[in-house]
Parts: sequence; structure tokens; C-alpha cells
Amino acid sequence: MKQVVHNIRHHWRVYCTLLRLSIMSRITYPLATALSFIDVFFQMFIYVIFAEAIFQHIPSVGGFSNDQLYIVIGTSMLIEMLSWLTYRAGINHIAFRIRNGKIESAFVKPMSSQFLALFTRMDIEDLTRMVTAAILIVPHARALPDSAAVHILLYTISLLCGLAISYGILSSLASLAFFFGKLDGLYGVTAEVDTISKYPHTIFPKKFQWIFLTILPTAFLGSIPTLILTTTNHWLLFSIMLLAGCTFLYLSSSLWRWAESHYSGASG
Amino acid sequence: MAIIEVSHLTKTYEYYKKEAGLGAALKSLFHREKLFTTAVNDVSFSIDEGEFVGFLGPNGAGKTTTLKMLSGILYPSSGDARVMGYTPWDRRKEFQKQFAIVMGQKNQLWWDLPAVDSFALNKEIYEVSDRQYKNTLAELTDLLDINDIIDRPVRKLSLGQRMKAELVAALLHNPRVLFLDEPTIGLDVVSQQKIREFLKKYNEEKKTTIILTSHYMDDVEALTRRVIMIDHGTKIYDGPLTEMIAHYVDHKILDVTFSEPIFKKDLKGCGTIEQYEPQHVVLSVSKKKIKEVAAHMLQTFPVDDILINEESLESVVRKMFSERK
Repeated sequence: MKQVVHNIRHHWRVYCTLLRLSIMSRITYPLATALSFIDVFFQMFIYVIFAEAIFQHIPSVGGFSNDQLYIVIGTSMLIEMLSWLTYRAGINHIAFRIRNGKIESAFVKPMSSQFLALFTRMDIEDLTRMVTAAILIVPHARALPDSAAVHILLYTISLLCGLAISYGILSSLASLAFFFGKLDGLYGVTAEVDTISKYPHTIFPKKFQWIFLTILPTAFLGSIPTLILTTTNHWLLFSIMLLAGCTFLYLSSSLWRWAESHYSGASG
Repeated sequence: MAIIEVSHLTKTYEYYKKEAGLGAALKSLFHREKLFTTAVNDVSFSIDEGEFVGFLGPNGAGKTTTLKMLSGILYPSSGDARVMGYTPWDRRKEFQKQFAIVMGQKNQLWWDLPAVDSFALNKEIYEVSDRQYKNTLAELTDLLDINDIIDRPVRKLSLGQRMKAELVAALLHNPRVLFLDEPTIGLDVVSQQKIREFLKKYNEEKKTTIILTSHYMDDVEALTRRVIMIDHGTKIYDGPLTEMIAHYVDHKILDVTFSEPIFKKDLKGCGTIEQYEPQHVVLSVSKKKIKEVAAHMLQTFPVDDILINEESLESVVRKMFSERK
């Protein structure tokens, strides 16, 4: 137990240093960084406008009320923001780093190689997603159930679980780069995960819904945290969320270890 | 006592045959011929604590692959290795905290930030205490004379300065074993010399075990007493550098400058002409005949200057490898 706590603290300290370096690195080019901030804000703002356009005349869909629909999109944006502040840029570069051998530095350091290989750069401009998410969530979370503090706390933790699940999905796919060399298709999958998670899983036909709760569990990146925040079924959903988060972390870590054992060098 | 023990280490890579042209590319979608290449073949050696060993071989000989297996980056196809008692490819944290690898062609420093910020990251990764970090950083930057450049962005540093900063980053946690893969590649002569001086001093003071691969024979001559030579993945020599030279060097180099031009045909019987200009020749002469040839030159030709040199290590190595072909 002591060792686990030590490892978590160690990884946290290294993460904080990487975040600090990422911020410093980004600030080296202030105008480019400002442009990135504007770009992300603009993209997200378009999403907000579309959400307004789509949902303003829809009282409810798939069992989700109009307020909940906005929260689903906002929640998905928050998890996306967390992913860009942690592993997402690393995922996008992983195949290239495997091909040119740069990943090797992650194999020789006394930490999880998966962590060091994927947590390489944090994109701070994605903090703007928090603003757009707040525009969507705050006005529509007015009528929370009783004991709102508990709901908000569980919702916050479930965002972290959502982050763990999205990390699990995408880092598992990234592991394939050890075999495939290139993973251009990963960008498409990432974009689809982002898009699908912005809609309640219940809008899909029943025979497909299980997909979004199991093999491509996008429901955990929008719908389920929203239900934890807004319904009285929160403890059960939260338990499922926690279990899913741990399961995906474990699976992705196992898959990574197996895949990296097949690494044969940039020249191999 | 051996700190590195390598026993019958072998690494075979699989790859697919690729022929030129679109047709061949399309055909390869349905049928690919799998080929194998043995990068390291049944290599065994052991290295004692504190030794500085040169690892020599032509391009593609298997030097880097061996270093990558010893640092745990690659898994071997067969054989075994122990570094500080650990199996490298188990990647135990206790092991990883005690060694470092520096690859001349790959950098680990953050490009847009001062090197000192990358050092701070390594401090956290290796869990170096504040006091040790401060002391080690001061010591290394003094030794490498880079105090004034560590707060400049890495992209603004020269190649030599960058390599020095890479060495600092790699040594902050005081490793017991250091693997250096072409650390002076691409550097100018002055930077190469500075890095050599640093490595020599570091090895002597810290007793760090160092394995060095380099294409520059000056590195090997200046730093190592023992060399391991590898060619086509197979070890062909392991022993003192001096013995290797004595064994393979049966010629000396005669460098003669004349006060008047002489004809090439007049040098017949004086050894192999390596270089000819009417007033300057370089000859390779058998050790047994060197005195006789030198005396003949002095008596016969208008000699302005005459030098007898040892064959360069580079030509010895070239000779060793060409003899094997």
C-alpha cells in the first residue's frame, strides 16, 4: 500500500513538472499559443451554437431532458479538456515516436513507460474547453436533486473516471502502433469517440446501445456522468463508472506491456 | 568483480522482403516473404566495475543493438545478460535508477526550453534529492564548463554544447553504469576533445563503468584500455587495446619530405606507397624493414624531413574488418 501511494505521488510530481514544462514551452511562442487558444475556443463555441440549434426545440430525447442534453455535451468537453491536459497529444505522436525510436527514452527510466510515452506534452489551449463547458453545464444544472454537494462530488470524480476510460480506449489503440508502425486511422477513431460521447447513448437503437457501454464505452464520457449529476440513481451509476475506469486502466496497462515487449527498435 | 555479464546473447530481427514498384507493393499485400537478420550473434563477455570499454565495429555490426539489450530497451532472441545483478529487459525500477544511456543521435532535452528545465524533469523522474541535485549539477556543469549556457534554450545551443547538456541530464542521478552510443558523432574536434577529457575524468573519479561505441578511433584510443570488436553481430576480439595493435600492426608509416622532386618509380622496393606527391611521400613499410628503408632513403634521396609513425588505430580496425571479408 505504501509503495502504491509512493508511486502515485511520484507520478503526480512528474506530471506537474511536465505540465510546467509544457506551459513554458508553449509560452515561448506567445502569438502561436494565443492563436491556438482562439482556435479551440472557436471550435467549442461552434459546438455550443450547434447544441443550442439542435436542442432548443427538443424537450427530451432518449429519456434525457433538454437540460441533461446540454450537460452531456459539456461533460464530454470537460473530459476532452482533461485528456488534452494529460495524454492526448502523446497519443497523437506515439506512432511517430515508435518509428523514429524516440520512445526508447521511456523504456529506460524508472517509471511506467506507458505514462512517460504518452504524457509527453500538455496542450494548455484546451483549457478553453472549460469555459465552453461551463456555458453549457452551469445554466442547465440549476435543478439538481437533493444533496447537490454529493452529486457534484460524485460527478467530479466521475469526470476523472471518464478520463481513465478515454485513456484506456485510446492508449489501448495506441499500443497497436508497436505492430502497425503507423496509426493514421487512430485520429478518426479519436474524433468519433469525441463526437459520439456528446450525445446520449440512448438515442441509438437499442441493439447498438450495448456497444457504447462496453467495447466503445462513450456513454461513460457524457451520458453517465450527467445522470450521476442529475438523477437519484447516482450511487449505482457511480459504482459502475468507478469499476469501468479501473477496468479500462488495467486493460490498457496490460495491453501496453504486452505490446511494448514486441518493440524491435526503430531500425528493426 | 563483474558488473556486466553477457552470455550467448543473440538478437534476430524479422522483416519482410520489399521489392521496388507498385506491382510488387500490391503483391506484398497478399504474399510477403519473411526474412530474418541476426544483428547480434552469440555474444559473450563480462565487464568489471569501473572499467571503460570501447565497443567497436562497422555500421550495422550490432553495437547499438547490444547496448539496447543491456539497457533493457530490446528483448533478446536468446541468451542472457546481467547488469548489476539485474536482467535488463525485466526493467526493474531499482535497475533503471542505477544506469544511464546516452545516444549521440537522439536527444532527451526539451527543444524550446533551457537545458536546466529538462534537468529538473530528470530530477523528479529519478527522485534525486534537492541536495544531491544541487551538488551534482554544480559539479557536472563545472567539469563540462557549461555554467553559462544551461539557461539558454536548447535549440540555441551548438551541437557540442547540446551533447554536454545531454551528458549532464544523464548523469544527474549518479549512475553506476553508463552506456554511450556515439557521444561525439558530428562534433567538431575541440568539442570531441572536451567530451573525451570529461569522460576520462568522470570514469576515474566516480569509478562508473562505461561502455562506449564510437566511430572515432581517437575516442577509443584516448579513453579505453580494453576493446570489444564486433562484426556482423559476432565478437571478433575482446582484450587490451595495446595487444590488438601489437597483433595487427606489422607495418609502420614512413612520412618523407624531399627538398627536390623525385620520381615515383625510384621508390620501388621501399614499401607500399600510400600517398605520393613529387616532394612528399607516405609509405607503409614492414616493421622488420623500417630501419633499412629509412637508411636507404636518407642515403639515396635529398631528404628534408623524415618521420616514422605508428599505423593509426583506424587503419588497424579497417584492416581487421577487411581481413574478415
